[in-house]
Amino acid sequence: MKEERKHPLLSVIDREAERIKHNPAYRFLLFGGPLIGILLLFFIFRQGAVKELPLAVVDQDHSSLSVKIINALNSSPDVEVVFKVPDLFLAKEMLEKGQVDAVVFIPENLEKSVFKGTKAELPVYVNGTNVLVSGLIQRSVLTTLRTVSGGIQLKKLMLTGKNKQEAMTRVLPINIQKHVLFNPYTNYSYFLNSAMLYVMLYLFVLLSSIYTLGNELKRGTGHSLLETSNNSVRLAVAGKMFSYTIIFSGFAMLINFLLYKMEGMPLNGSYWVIFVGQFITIITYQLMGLIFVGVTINLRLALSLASAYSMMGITFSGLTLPLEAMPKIAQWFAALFPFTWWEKIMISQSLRGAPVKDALPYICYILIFQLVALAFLKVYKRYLENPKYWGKK
Amino acid sequence: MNEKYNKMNGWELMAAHIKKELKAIFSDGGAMLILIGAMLIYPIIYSIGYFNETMTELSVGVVDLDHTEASRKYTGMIDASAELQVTYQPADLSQAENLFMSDEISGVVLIPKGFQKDVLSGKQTNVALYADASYFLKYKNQFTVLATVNAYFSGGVSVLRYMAEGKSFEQAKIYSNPIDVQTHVLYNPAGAYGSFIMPGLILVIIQQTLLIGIGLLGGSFSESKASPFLLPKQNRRREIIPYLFGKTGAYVIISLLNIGYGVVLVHHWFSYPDKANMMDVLMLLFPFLLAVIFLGIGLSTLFKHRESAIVFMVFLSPIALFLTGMSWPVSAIPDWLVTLSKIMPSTTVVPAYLRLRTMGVGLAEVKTELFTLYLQAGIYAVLTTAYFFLRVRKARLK
Repeated sequence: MKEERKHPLLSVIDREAERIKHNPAYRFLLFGGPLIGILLLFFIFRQGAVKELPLAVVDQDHSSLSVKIINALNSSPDVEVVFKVPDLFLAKEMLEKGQVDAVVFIPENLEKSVFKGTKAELPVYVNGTNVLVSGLIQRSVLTTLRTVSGGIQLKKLMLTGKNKQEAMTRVLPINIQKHVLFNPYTNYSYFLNSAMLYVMLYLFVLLSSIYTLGNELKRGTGHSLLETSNNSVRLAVAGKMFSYTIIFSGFAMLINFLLYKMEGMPLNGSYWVIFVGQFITIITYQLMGLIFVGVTINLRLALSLASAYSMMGITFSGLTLPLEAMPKIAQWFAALFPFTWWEKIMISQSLRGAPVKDALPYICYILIFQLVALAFLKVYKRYLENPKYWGKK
Repeated sequence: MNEKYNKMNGWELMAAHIKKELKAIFSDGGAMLILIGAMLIYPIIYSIGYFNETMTELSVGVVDLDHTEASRKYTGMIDASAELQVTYQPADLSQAENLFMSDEISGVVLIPKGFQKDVLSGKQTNVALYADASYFLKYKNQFTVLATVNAYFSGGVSVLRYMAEGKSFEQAKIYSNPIDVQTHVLYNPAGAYGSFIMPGLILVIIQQTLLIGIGLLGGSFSESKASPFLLPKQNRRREIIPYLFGKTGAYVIISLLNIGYGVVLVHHWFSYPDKANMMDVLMLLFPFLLAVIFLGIGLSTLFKHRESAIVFMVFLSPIALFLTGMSWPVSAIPDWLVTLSKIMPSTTVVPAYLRLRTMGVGLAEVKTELFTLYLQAGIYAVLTTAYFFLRVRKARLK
């Protein structure tokens, strides 16, 4: 033994570094995995707003009005006319093959009826399979066609001798002024991207923690660990977690950089709350490794359960469908994931610019998970000491 | 022991491997949890989360500065929509802001003073919407409802003015809307969220649980496990194909259970759209399963430890889901990533599957995808077999 012994905490940190060096799985959980996951998600959501969804137009009128309609559709930002077909059957086939997402049917004599002032219908068929896509198409196509229709009305009114102001009032008696709060670009990407990047981060935090805690049991190295930490399970766990906390905090800052600098996501609240929030959430998920290992005493089962748990956290964070829209039981269930609370901190601070005090209850909820996890420290020590619990597959 | 296996022909060896693999699956808690447990639980939990299908009765506040019959009618129309509910009528905007910040309401509609007067005297007037866009679906609903209410209300006003000029009601209606745009939303007219996301999500779950489960049961050459082969080293070459297909057969059997549950029962319980011929669905899912299983067996050979399957593959699950284009349109994903995403069978099968089940098209409309899936299965099978031959030869030469 050396004369001046290092502090046990430092020895555990050194010991963990050795383990990371010698096992590729650790390195993947700490470096490769989060990096690949974060970058892939970042590129998926990179472009921000969705654009240019394909349309088919069935033009049976062949008039200047139908040309006008097609041009108007083409110049609208979300859709593009990719096919012009002579009949509805062909268009339907394209819809069914997935080549187009909607069909605009311009019937024979549309122009004639419009100018004669008789009933003129313009049916639009939208594929509703994907709610997101069909919502965008409806918004875009309806706005465009209503503008065309309004233009015709305006022209006719002016022909009857009204001035432009009068005609405009008739076409649009009440105007809606839209004030979009907090996410002025109405950008779905900010919302999904910010949430998914953190899902990825916390997933790796939890898995890596379980992996390293569980491996001590699987390999039966508990005694060596406790020896290094001077028989203190608190120091042992703290030492093992330390390098992970630092590295994952680094990844959290990478996410901050990608979101705020590269994507230009608004940061209306306090960055410090976000920073502290993500730091606390990282430590929470690390400590929750103790719960999973403590309950299962089986590395593989713990990893399986933790994966299932993390994946469910996505749905119940209100990311895809807001929590208010879910049944009460699902809303209760959602409270069992630190991620739900983190998501509230993120959105209220980043997008809404809520006051700092609004974030405090959420942070407290996250801390409760830490307390529960700390209760498992003693249990973990017992497992480390007793060979009965080792070597479980 | 070896003697018994040495006398077997290929088919018998395959049967022996199917039995062996199934036994391994059913005696492993972790694998059972992923391959069967997850498959049983996920669709139910997710379906409960999405049970309400659409968002209804979102709370908004209306600041009515006009207090007239017209403004009350406008407010009433907003309240009557299925999506929004007017829960507060704050006296002014700052009161509304407080309600908003404390999360009581998620949007505010402001009706200005003089609203009715302007409407009646033929002047243009404004209505303002302050909507929270930090949750996308909430914003979308508020905007859509207000746009619809406004269109109806304005339409009514416009019709009245034409009638005041002496036009008949019918004529006035046509004059105020020369082109009558009629939207028909096909296949999922209610815009229901569960019906939209669940069918595809179930396939992604089948894929991911298979990939992880196969890896979890052990790479065939993993150092922590005994050799999976039954024959002695020098005879193993003839065992590779029976081994591979035996293993595949075991997972096809497991998957059939999962399909019966996820694709038939869950759809039935939650009444998800089902316009397809079940035979067509199975015809499409068969090459999908083969591709996934061969990919899984190939990947499993890369893992040294069995738990590595989770470590290396779980994080791909949400990514695989987004790459199918369900929660995020493919048109918004960069091209190189779309090409790369073809590695995952789910990218190809989900859009085709949704066309079958939700749109009710026939197998002929998805033949491109069907072909791609068989091609994929073929490529993964050949690559895996080739790799096995190399390993077996190396082991024999040693």
